[in-house]
Amino acid sequence: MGIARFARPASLILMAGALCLAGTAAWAQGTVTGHVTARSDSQPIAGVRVLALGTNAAANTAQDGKYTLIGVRAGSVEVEVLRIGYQPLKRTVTVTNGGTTNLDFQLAAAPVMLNEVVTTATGEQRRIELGSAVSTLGNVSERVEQTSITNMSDLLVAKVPGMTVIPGAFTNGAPNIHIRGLNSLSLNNSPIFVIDGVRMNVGGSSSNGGNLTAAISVLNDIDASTIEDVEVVKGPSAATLYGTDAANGVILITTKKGKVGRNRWTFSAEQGSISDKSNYLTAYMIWGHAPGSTAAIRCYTYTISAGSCIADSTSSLNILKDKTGLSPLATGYRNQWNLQVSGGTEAVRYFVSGGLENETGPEKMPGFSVQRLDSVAGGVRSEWNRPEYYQKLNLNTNLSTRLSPAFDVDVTAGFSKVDEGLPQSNNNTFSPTYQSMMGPGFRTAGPGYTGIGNLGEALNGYNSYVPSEIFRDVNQNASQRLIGSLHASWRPLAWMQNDGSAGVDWNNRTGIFLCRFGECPAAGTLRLGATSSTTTNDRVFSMKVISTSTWQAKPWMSLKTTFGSDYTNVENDGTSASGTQLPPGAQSVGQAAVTAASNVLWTATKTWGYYAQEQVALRDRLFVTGAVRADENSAFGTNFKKVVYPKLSVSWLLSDEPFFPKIRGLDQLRLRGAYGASGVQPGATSALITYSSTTVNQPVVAVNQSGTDTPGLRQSALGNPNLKPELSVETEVGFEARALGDRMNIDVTYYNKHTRDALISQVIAPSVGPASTTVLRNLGSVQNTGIEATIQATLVNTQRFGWDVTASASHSGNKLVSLGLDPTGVPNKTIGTGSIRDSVGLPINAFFYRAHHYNDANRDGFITPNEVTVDPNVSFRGYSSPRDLASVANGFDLFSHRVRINSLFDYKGGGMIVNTNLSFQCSSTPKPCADVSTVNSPLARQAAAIALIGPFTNGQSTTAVGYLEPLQYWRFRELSATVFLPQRVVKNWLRGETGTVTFAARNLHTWTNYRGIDVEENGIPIFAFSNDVQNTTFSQGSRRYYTVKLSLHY
Amino acid sequence: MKSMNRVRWTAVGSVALVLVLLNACDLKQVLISPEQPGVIGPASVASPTGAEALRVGALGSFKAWFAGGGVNFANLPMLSDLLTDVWASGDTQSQHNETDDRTVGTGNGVLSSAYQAAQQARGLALTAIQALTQYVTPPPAAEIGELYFAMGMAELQMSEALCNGIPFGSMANGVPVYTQPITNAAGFTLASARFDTALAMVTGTDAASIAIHRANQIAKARAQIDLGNYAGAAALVADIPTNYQYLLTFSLTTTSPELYLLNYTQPSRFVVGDSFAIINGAPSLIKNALPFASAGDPRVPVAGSTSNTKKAFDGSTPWVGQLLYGQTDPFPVLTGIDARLIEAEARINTADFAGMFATLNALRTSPQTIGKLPIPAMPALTNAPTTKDAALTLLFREKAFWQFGRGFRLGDLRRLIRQYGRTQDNVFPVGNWFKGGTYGTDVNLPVPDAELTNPNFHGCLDRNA
Repeated sequence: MGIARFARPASLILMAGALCLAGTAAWAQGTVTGHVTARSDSQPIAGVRVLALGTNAAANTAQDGKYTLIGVRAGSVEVEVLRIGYQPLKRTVTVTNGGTTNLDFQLAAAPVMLNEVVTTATGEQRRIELGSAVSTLGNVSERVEQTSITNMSDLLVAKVPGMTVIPGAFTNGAPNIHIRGLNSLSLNNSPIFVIDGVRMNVGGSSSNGGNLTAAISVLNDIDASTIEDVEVVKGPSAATLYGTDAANGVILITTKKGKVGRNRWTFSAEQGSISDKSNYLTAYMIWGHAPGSTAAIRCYTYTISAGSCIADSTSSLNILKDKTGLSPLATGYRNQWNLQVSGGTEAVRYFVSGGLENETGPEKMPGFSVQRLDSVAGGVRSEWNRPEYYQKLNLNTNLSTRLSPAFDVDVTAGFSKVDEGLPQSNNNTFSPTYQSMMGPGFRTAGPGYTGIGNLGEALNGYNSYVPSEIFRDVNQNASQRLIGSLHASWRPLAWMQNDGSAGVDWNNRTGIFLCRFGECPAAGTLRLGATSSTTTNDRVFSMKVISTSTWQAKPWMSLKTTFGSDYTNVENDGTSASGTQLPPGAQSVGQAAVTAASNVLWTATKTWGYYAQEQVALRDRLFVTGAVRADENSAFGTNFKKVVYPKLSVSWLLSDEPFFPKIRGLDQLRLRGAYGASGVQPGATSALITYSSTTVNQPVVAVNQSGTDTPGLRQSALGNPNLKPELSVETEVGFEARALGDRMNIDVTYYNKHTRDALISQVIAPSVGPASTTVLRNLGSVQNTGIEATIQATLVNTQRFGWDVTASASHSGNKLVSLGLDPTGVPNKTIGTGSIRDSVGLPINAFFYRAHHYNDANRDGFITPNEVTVDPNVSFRGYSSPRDLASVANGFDLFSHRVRINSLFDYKGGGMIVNTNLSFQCSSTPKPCADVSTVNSPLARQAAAIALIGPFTNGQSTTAVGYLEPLQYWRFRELSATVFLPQRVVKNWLRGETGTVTFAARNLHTWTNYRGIDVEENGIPIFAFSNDVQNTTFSQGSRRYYTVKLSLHY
Repeated sequence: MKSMNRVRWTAVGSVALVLVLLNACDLKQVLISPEQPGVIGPASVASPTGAEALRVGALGSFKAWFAGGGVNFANLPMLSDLLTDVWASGDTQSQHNETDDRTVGTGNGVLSSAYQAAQQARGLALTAIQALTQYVTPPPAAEIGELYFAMGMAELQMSEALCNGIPFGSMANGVPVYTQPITNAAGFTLASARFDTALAMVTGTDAASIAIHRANQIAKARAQIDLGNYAGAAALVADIPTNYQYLLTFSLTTTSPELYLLNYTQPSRFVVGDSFAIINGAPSLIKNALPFASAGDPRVPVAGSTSNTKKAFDGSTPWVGQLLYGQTDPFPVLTGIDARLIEAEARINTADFAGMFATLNALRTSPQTIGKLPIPAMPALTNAPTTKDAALTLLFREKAFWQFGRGFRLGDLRRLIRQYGRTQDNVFPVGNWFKGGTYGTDVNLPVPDAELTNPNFHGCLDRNA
């Protein structure tokens, strides 16, 4: 059914494209061929991009350095060759009609490696033509080979100024990615992903059968080793032509393609360890006795002060850091194998890759629980013993064919299969983190703690459940995914190129939760057995047609005109089933005594956009681009038909102008500026009035003691026929300078983004009895500003030693300009009543808390509730996400470039973070936190806890402000050493061409004053969800990886 | 010339592309029509069967806020009982703990959800009434009467549990109609008016009509008691059989009583309240608290004890579970026993202490049923009260056991203060709270901050009983 729906519009679009492009005519054109070699050693250079400027003709050099440009218009043509790591080179050649002209190049190495060709919505463009900032990772293969890249988050984190990446917890955790801060109150603030021209689904995360496990990422389905490059299009000024939904930026992933030449094999094998060195909180206990009694009781600082408890001693227990067999954390391990082959001819090129990745996370059944299961369960299943695991299989292939000199077809397909298990986490008594940190602070029986669980098991200091029970609560995910695309390029005329592409991202995900009969914690009816299964299907269809014409209007002026249209259809559907009361041995829903099931028919969000762009290049140093795009979208309200996004950008290679003075040390200076708009669409059904079904057990007569299940309806959404997308308009200006003989590159960008029609979930007070207490309206406006800078420099580059550094920094801010009017016409000042609020003049998701004050009036060294005052009103306390980002990457080439050392440090700051773990520890029984359960607790910490828990008899409220801490840290993110194997070893022993061995480590250290588990703890499914605030509730910290990888090239 | 040809080619090709795409209406329809087959839209409820479905949905919402609710969060009757001695919090959630220790904040998320659910159920009942009136000919009186009962019960229960200053507005064509907050007394009057509407409408003699009529009689009588009209209340329920119950039913495949979810099995988030708590390993009396857990009263059958080594959800509170309401057991909203207790209270107010005593003993000495649990005949009370104060103490103790866990207790304790002149520290639990600190002084639940969106609402008018 889905294919049929897709096929019809696809065929119509392609037919339409074909119609308008029908008819070819002979045109004066010729061929340019040549050879590109390195100036230093005359060795051929593969992968050089060769462009005939002012035309559509482009080619890559093969492994032997040869290239062929076909269909080049006759006459004088400037040809430019570009490759990362080399200085660009331009030469003019005269092309004869029907003839072949030879043009060779010798490229000089560039000390600073920049990718000079980027992918845009209208195709490839030289970076110098763009008026907006586009960041490229460049040479991803090298990064993957020479550092510890275990997933896509690792690849992206701390690489691009202005892009915040907070990696997920656990193995395959979902990252939180924002570009240039937050600009939407209600919608997703994450960028969209496009892979090989196909819109990629990154929003889903499997549900683990509905249990509280960490969010997992479908972004990591992509095998990083198959990626050629990643580009980050940061804002509306650059993303206009990507249309509705691109206002948060676009991350473009280009996978590897076949290269002309003999078969090139690449093999890699990686082994490593995974550990968790997070700052897990210790549970404390002050032992004491009541006056006049000898019975041991639990004291707190405030009960000592009140005289109701006399302290005797203190004990503590940190289960997660314990080395005596209590901890549910151990060393995990990881391995990965990849095999790739690439090759082909001008007519047919191919790339095939296969990879297998296994991770076993640090979660492990501790010894005492193993012993218990050996005795009561006859042993430990592997799924219980190591509940955190991740296995991924990737198969990728690309076939590029040149069917005729004017027609190319490129087919790409990538399949991934993921199987994963996770323990529970978050605010959840089945979370091992919760159980470990909420224990009494001692192991055996004591005040308020019997030391024995509900099943007679020794608790050993855990709160109420131990891993022998909670790890038997099995939560697994499986995913199968196919991302495929077909791209055709047709050049009927020397000045015209037509491109069409169609693709699909098809993802089937299953989440399973299982507690077999007699297993799992004794909570409710769980030990009677329970299971659930959820299946979700996400489909994204993408189609696109583009026609680009070029015209050398004057010798000094060339024009490029592009018309295009694209279509995106994001669909999903799913089913879920659950069952309780399983017989012994049963594992599936169908075997349960009580079952329930539901399914969700598919919903779709469809966008059809069409656009036109005109680019003028003057003397190949001033580039002016204007474009306009119109979008229609199925998620818009019925009263809103279309949105139009304009764009204008200018790029000026100022230093190439004759009047520009020669400045010593300055090699190139480019100014750029861009203005553009883009949007974020509402949810698929946000505009609609909807009803939800409900089954109600109804007695025939109200006095009957039992009833029958009866179907009913209740309104669930109020709908809004005027709903339209959020419209973000951005202006950015910047410059790029190369200096010191191309040894340094500086890139600075300032942006100012204004988002209007910001969607706000207007809250309706409950007293009117609304079907939904919120309705989505285009009410607000948001201002984002920021500055980004990157410096890349080669500090030393000698035969024996090299040192290069890349440093980047960015600062961003956002401010709510307006929140619209309330239902009575009064301007909204604040939305939200909790600790996260949106308030005019302040940032999105701002923290609001009441301040507290304290005074140890009786000077007894303890704080009691009557010594703490809490302000009656809340006040702004800070941003809830980092505003300041910085990173420093160093690379050292040692021993005549036989060893390469890479390091990466990154900084995040400018925000606040709630230390929920600690506040929970202080406020919930048995309150084992250091603040109130250690006699030497500083007064300020005692006051923070008292302000949190009270109780206050004077009516003042409690406040958690004492657990709001600065979000500020430096992290030693990456360290690696790559040894380039000697040629004789590779050739004679391994029969290869080149080879490396890389020793790498990730997440080595964090410098921060944050007192929680980990400042990057990221515990709830926030990626692609509206709540963009880090949650620090009994999740786990970043994992430390040590890996060794062997890479061989044949 | 060549340049002109290029321009022409570009223009012709591009215009053709745009025209084909723009004019292909069918194509456009296929491309972006908002097909959402998984969505139920307004057309589905614009019919008699649709209106009936809305009625069922509205009654489901009534059941949800009154007896069902979220899996881990208390509904309004349970939350109101938690503020009293009925329950103790065995939870880690601060929202439940601060309710138990009588220091409820306006930002309490559980309270906010409970309040919202009750208010929404009012609105959904009204929507269903409007649909039944519009699409069913003739409008079904009993069904509409039951929906008015549901609306009135929401207004009555909120007025008993929450502070003075609750707004009761409505939606008109999707637009909120905000109203001024009203006192609890005005809330009881509003609820009475709903019940009056139902009573006037439901005049049938079929079993369903009779059952709904009786429910409205008792409900109105309860509201009249809240207003101090004891005699009028007693007159309203005079013809209600003692064995009458208006029940909400449950099934394995739909929902379960919230009392089951939050208390029935160990470990649970609520434990049955007692007259003492274990503090620092030793029993500590709680002033004014009744011994629900330890009394051994057949009206409150329990498992576990206040000195239980098995713990509640927080891992430290001894677990005591009620056995009245299991996973699929019916939950009584109002009963004939409630009617008799209303009559007993009316007798106190006519100084007929003997009559009150006789009414209580009549209930005790006959087998009764609560929900589906048979309560065997109990020994008669002795020591008949001779003063109003003693009679009140006895009546409210008996009420508390007969009506255990059904959301009556907070309203009753407030009435002991408001109508009978007692002070809060002689009514509510006071002294040391078993998880640390002392009980606060709250005598009701505040209207939560979620209501602040209402431009007419600026907080409780007062927090008095």
